[in-house]
Amino acid sequence: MALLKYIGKRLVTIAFSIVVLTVITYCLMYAAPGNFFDIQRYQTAAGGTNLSKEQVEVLRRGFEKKYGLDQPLWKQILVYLGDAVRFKFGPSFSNPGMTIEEQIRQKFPVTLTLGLLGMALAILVGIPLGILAALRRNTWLDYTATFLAMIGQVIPAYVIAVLLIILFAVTLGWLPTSGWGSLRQMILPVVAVALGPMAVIARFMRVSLLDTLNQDYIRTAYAKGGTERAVILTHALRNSLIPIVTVIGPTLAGILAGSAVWIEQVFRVPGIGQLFVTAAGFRDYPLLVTSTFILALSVMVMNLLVDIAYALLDPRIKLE
Amino acid sequence: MRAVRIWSVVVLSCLLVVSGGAGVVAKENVVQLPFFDNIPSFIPYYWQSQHILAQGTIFEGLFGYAPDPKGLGGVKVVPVIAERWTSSEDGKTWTITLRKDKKWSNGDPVTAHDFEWTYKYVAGPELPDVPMWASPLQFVKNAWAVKAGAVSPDELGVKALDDYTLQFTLWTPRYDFNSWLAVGGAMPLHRKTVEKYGSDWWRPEHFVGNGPYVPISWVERKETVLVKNNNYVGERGNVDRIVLKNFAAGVSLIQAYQAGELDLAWIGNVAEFKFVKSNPELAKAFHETVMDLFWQGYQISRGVNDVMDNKKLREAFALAIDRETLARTVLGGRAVASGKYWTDDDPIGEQLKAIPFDPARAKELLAEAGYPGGKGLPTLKFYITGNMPEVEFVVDQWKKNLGVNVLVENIESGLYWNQYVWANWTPEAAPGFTRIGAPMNSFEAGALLKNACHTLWFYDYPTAVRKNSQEIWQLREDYLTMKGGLTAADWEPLFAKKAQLVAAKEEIVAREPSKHWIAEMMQKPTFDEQFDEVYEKWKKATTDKDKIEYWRQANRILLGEEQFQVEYTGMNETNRQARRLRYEMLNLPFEKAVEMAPRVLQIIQDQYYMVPLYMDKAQYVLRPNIEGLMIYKFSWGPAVFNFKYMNVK
Repeated sequence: MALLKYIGKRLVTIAFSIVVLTVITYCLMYAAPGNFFDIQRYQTAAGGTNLSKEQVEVLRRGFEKKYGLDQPLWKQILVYLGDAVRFKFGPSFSNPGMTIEEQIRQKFPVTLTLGLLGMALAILVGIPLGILAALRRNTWLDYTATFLAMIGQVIPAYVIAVLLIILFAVTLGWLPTSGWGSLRQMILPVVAVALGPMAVIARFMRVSLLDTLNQDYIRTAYAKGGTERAVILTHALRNSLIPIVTVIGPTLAGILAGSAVWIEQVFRVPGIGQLFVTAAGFRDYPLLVTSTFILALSVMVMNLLVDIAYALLDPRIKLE
Repeated sequence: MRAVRIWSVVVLSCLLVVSGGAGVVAKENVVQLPFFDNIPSFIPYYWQSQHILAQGTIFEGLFGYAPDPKGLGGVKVVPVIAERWTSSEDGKTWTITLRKDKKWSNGDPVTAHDFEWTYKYVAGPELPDVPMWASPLQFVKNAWAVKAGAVSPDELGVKALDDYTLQFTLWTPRYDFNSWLAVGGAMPLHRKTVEKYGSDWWRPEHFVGNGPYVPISWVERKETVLVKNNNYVGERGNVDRIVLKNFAAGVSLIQAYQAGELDLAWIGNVAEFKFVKSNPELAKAFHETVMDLFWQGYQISRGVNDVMDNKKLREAFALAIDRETLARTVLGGRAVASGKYWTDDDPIGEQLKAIPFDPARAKELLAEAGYPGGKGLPTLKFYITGNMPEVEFVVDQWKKNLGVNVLVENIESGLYWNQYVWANWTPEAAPGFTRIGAPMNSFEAGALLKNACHTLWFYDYPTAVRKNSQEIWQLREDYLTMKGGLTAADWEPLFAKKAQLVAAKEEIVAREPSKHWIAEMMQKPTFDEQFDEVYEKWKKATTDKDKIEYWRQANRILLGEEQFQVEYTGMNETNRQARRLRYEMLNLPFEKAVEMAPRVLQIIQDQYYMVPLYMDKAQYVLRPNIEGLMIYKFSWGPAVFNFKYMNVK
């Protein structure tokens, strides 16, 4: 019951935050000079045809009318929020043939799949790597694992992506250089997404496990005759995992909002990241505000899930 | 005997299996090509990448592009669905007879009614945001009134006289109108499909086109697959399937080419170029062509400060740049140096005199301009966005050859392109420069000036005139929200102003020698006719809101005319001279306009407001078995287009 109450409270906070964020985004968007219509018009129109002021006005009015830009700002925000509740965002300036919600429906699952698979791989490899490093502290195994983790963390994902392409697609010819859909096409982007978080998780796991192993109750467990295997699996690991959970949530949100964008670009993955990248430069208002909306929502929901998981893993933590 | 027959069948079957079924199933010719980052839809009218795909690949127009090694950009405009055509002497009526054998991909015949319906649909209220500047519709009678919702689409100046005769009535003479009919914005739509599926008509599952290929699958930002349109009538290559793969800008395509996933890969930077040249296999597949429809250079910043009004100063900067070294070193041989807007090899460029590299003369000019050794020159800025190493080189040249320090300032890209590069004026911009690359968008007379005609609209005036014009423009904007016009007394000053402007206009018309310019100035409805019309509406208006709106409109009409007159009477003589030639050029068929263009361009270039530096090369690797690929060199290029000429050897 307390959990449900907590979730309810958090959902209200999320809704309020989204509204505030939308208002701020709208205001910032309009404060930035320049607009999509003029960017297109100036680059293309004045070359040969030199449209008259009246002709430009006709086009501008048509454009503004279609996208509701002829309404006062407060009304635009209200209409947007009203539509957003029903998950309707209308078409974007740069893609008038399709609604943004359709694009999100098509692309978000791709980004989410990439993010989740990348995260799963990062967990599956990162946690054992961290455990190994902690258990064999200050041995070559620890140094190797720490070195690999460091490499994964310091090299940007897009550089890793290109290296993976050169090695596995061009030199060895085992995997395709790009695309999305078949299992073979998914391997390289997922690995490229996973390496950074994998390094973070491995390092966190190592430190967390070492910290746990130094606790009194672990010494007690050994004193009571527990084998190393039993002590680690039964007592140390579960408690060491708690800090890892706090890392996983924001890391996944970070993948969705950031690193996946690069990976999608390099590997031609039709995800949501690329859709949003160009929105700001072209002053594509509907796309820009919706990208903020979706990404903020993803991060907030992810944080909520982490907090819930945190509480479930450690009963001492109270949800308030 | 029976056993022999059985064994014969078995052996034959085995042979067929081993031979991969040769002779039974023909091998499909598939070509995989990179395309723009995105194909957002297949609607040909919007100024997105499908605009190019539409031109001769999934749609065909009355006219189209064909390869022409000697033509501008390696292309020429040819009739496609048009069989013959005539234009009236005044250039306003075009009658086109269509071929009778052309078909849609579902087998329906392509008729003049398809074109009439399409143009009315595109001009009509259902698509209020169609960029008319990318369409020949902008010249069609009543098109602007239809778009504004003032008249019905039925009043549009296009009519099918019978199934295979189409007539256009234009509001302005266009002797190059046939060239305009080759662009994406002139393609026909299949009426029944649009009416049945509404805004989803363009999706592959519904798509009916009339081009040599049709899309059968499409994933945005990933891939589009085109296959042969089996009902297509006309010349076409032997490619059965074209896979267009979308790659984001900046992503290397070379690896995909090496892995066999692309048959063409653009070379995106100097490092890739060096890599390709050092790899024997890739080097054999290497090709390059100059992007001759697109000049790259800089322009004087669009501020209102008068420092750069000094022609000698502008010329000094233009002469102090070693373009050959720029192209060879900073650009790594991926460009050709050019001190003019066109190349030496084309019919326009061969008549243009290039801006030379002459540091000694540049120094003299700087001194003659009043700034010997750069002394006394206020701080100049070169505005850029992102990474522009060529600007670093240019600024260094100015320091070395003129002794002038120019500050480089980086601006956010949206703001940069919108307000610093392509804009009216930017009062906050310091005197100096901005980077510009300006293309020809299509084969039409005005586009031969490659946007360098911005010199005429925004620069070639004395500073006082420019400032005055800017103030009137601002006032015109202010009238969008001003209040007034509720009483007849509010109109009295407007009538006085109108009378004054009419008298001044009569004087201008009497003095102006160019009949084409006069025709443009006196285009119906003239400003005073527009004013009278709005005034009549005001008299009949019943609400204060409407009255205020009409009063605003009347003020804006007069201010628009006032701005024109201020600019006309105050412009530099070079501007006036270039405009007269330009109007003459616009009243010529395209081929004749090409002959005229160098005269206009030379005047513009000699003002040094928009200064050419180089032209990029489109560099790529291509499988040796592919031929007939057409490179798109207009704005958006390089890209490939018009796939019907492509063959697999």
